[in-house]
Amino acid sequence: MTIFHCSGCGNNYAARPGCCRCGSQELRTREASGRGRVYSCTTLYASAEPFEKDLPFQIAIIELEEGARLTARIAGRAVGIGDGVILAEERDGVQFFSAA
Amino acid sequence: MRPVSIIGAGKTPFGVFPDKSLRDLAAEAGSKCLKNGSASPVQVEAFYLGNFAGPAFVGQNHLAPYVGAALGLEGVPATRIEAACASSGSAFFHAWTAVASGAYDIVLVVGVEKMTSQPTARVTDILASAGEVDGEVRAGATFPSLFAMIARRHMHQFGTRREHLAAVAVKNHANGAKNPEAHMRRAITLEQALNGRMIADPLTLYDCSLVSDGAAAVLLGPTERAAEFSPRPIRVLGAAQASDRLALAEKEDITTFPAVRKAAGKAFQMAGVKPEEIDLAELHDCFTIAEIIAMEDLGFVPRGEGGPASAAGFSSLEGEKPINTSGGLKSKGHPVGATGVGQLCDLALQLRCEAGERQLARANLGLAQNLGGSGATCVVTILGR
Repeated sequence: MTIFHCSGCGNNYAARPGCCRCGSQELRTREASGRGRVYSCTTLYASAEPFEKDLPFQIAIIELEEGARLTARIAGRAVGIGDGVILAEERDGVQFFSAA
Repeated sequence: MRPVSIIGAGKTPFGVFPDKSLRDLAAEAGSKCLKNGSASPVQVEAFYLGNFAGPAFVGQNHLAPYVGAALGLEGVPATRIEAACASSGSAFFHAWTAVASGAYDIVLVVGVEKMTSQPTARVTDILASAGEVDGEVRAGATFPSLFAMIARRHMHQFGTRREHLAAVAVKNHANGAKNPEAHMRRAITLEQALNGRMIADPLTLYDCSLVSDGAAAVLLGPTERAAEFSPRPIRVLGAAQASDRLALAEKEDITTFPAVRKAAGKAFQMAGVKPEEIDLAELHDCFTIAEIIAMEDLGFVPRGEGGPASAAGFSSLEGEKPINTSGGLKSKGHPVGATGVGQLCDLALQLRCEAGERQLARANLGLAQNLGGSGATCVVTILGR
C-alpha cells in the first residue's frame, strides 16, 4: 500500500495533504508493507445509510509498521487490540485488513 | 480584555417537535432570552448563531440573517459558526471575545438544531460528516463507532468496565427525569443500560446521546452594565477554545483529548480557580465514555479513574462534584448546534437557584465543556455568580 512520508520531520501518514506535526507540505509517497497492529476496534450494528447493507461489520484503527495510523475495515474473522493484521484488499479507496 | 457577564438566558425544551421549524425554535429561545435580559432587539449590536448542519437537516443556508430577522435584529452583523457539536460553544466564545475586547456591548448568541425531521440512518450520515469524510467516514465509521473505539482503548489501558459506562447513563437519566425541559424524562436501571441494543461494541443505545430538536440563547454584555439588564447576572470568569487533528486515527492517544486539556488550562488560569473549586459542571456526554474522559481531562479525577469515580457516585446530584444536573446530552437531549449554549443556560439556572427539584445547595462556580467531533474542537467556559 502507498503511504505519505514528510520530508520536514520524517513522520509517515496513511493519507494527508500536509504534515499535522510540522506543517510541511512536502509529502512524498512511499510503499508500505501493509502490515500493522490493531490500536483499537469496534463492531458496528448501526451505520450511516451507505453502509447499512454491510451490517454488522468491524472497523479498526491500525498502526502500520511504518508508524502511520488509519481507520480501516476488517475482513474475515474479528480482531482485537494488539492483534497483527495485514492489508487484504483496497476497494473504492477503503483498505480492508485481515488477521495476520 | 474587560469582564463580561451573561445578562439573559432562555431556551426551548429539547425533544421532538414536528410542528416547529429551525427558525421557530431559534426565535423562541432568542426571544425568551431577550425577555429574560429585559432587552429589546434594537439594543443588540451583534448576533452569533451556532448551528452544525442546518443546510443538510432542513435545506436552509445563510442561517444567521434568516434567524436574526425573525428576532427583529435589523442591520447588525449576523454570523453563523459551525464547529460540529461545539458550534454554539464556539459561537458563545466568539461573542465573548467581541464583548471582552470592547468591540460591542450587547451581543446575542443562539444555538439551534432541527434534527428529527430526518430518518435515523440519514441523521447518522449527516453527523458523520463532522469526521474526516475522505478517511474514517469513507471506511464506514460513525460517531458511535469512533467513541466505541475510544471506549475500547480506555478499557484496555485503564481497566474501565461497561458497568462504569452504564453508571454515567443511569446518573444522567436520573437527573433528566427531574428536568421538565429534558427530552427523555425517564430514570433507567443499570441492568437496562447494560442490556441495551448494541450500537457499536461496547456502546449500547443507552451509552449514546439523543437525536433532538431544540434551541438555546444567552445575551452577553460588559459586567459594568449588567445591572441595567438583569437582577441576577452571571459572570463569565473564564472562556477558551482549542482545536486538534480532525481524524481520530491521527491522535497520538485517543483516551484523552488535548483540545479539552488546552481549553481547560486557559479557562482555569483566566478564572483563577482550580478544578477542585468548581461546584458543578455540564460536560459533553455525547457518549458515556466522553463524560468519563472529560472528568479526567478537566482534572476532576486522575487519569483512568473517571469510570470507577462515576460508579461510586462522585458525579451524582448528592456527590462531591455534580455533573450534568440537567440530564446531559444523554437525557436532556442533544440538538447538536444548541448544546453548547444549552449547557450555559443550565448552569445559569443552578447559579441563579432556579433549578427546581435538581437545585444544588452549593452552586457558586460552574463549568461547561462543549466538544466537537471526536475532540477536534473544545470550548470550556467557567461561570460564577
